[in-house]
Amino acid sequence: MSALTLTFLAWWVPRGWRADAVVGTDSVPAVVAAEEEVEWLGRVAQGDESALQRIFDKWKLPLLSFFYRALGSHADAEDLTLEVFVRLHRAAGDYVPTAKFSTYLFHIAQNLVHNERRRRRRKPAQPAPPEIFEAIASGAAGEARRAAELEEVLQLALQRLPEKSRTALLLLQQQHMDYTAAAATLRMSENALRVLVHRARQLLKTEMEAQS
Amino acid sequence: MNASRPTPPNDDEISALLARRYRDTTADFEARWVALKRELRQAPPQRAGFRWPAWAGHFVLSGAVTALVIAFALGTREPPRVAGTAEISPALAELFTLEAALGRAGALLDAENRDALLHLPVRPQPRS
Repeated sequence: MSALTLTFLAWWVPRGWRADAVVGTDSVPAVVAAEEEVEWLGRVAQGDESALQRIFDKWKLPLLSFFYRALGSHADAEDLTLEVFVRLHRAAGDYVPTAKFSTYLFHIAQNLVHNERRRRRRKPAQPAPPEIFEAIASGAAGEARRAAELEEVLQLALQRLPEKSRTALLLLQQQHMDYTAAAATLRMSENALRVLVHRARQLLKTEMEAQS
Repeated sequence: MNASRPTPPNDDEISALLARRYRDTTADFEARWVALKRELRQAPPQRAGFRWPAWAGHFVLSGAVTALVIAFALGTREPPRVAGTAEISPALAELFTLEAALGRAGALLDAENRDALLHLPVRPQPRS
């Protein structure tokens, strides 16, 4: 065994086997502030159903919105949102708060989207009822019509983005996550995320212009 | 440009669209949640069992690498040199010499002769 090999092992072992090495130490908070969801999930583990209801009430709309934008199907968004809560319930006893709760939650969500997209290659879009969305137009007829048209264009353009780019955009701009949490969710460094998001925005705009 | 298509969106419009969320759920969804909660009530969450500490994995893997390194080092090491014949006692050296001279002759003996030789008396019998 050469000294060179030993030197390499000494260098690689501490880096290669650390799960947080990909994320970067600067992007993972050393101490995670106590969140109410952590307490609720602990109570879920003890069989407290009202705690699960609280988590559901707080996170159902963000999750539905995320899944709908990611998959373009209102029915799938509802299915996967419920699946998230099944998984949360199942894992409640094993949950260890090593990152923000939202990071944990959207990591589950992202995995579900990934599996769903692998499972079905092509599926016709199932638009959500317009009234279910927050209004972005002031109410004038022209503005409302343009918003509805752009909504359709956006949804089509989002489906054309690479999965990671789409997820990054949604975590930051729809879920208002900070870069640290979004980077941890996507298992990448903050710098890599910034580059990814910049390119994703450009690509999204190009796709939307192509359909306009 | 297609007349039925909207004009390209600007950055603010894209940001507003991306930030848009569901504002409510459907009655059907809420009904499914109630049914799901009922199912979950019948399958209580798994209790956390014994959990290995995070460092245990590193410890085991480091140990495995160390074992590999040692095994590799031992496998490629030259075998120890056999002590020279000069260091062997004279009696043992004589035995080695006898073995070298006679050992190969054993194969020449057929089974019948070998048995006969083995049963020869140690002291020769006087002839009658």
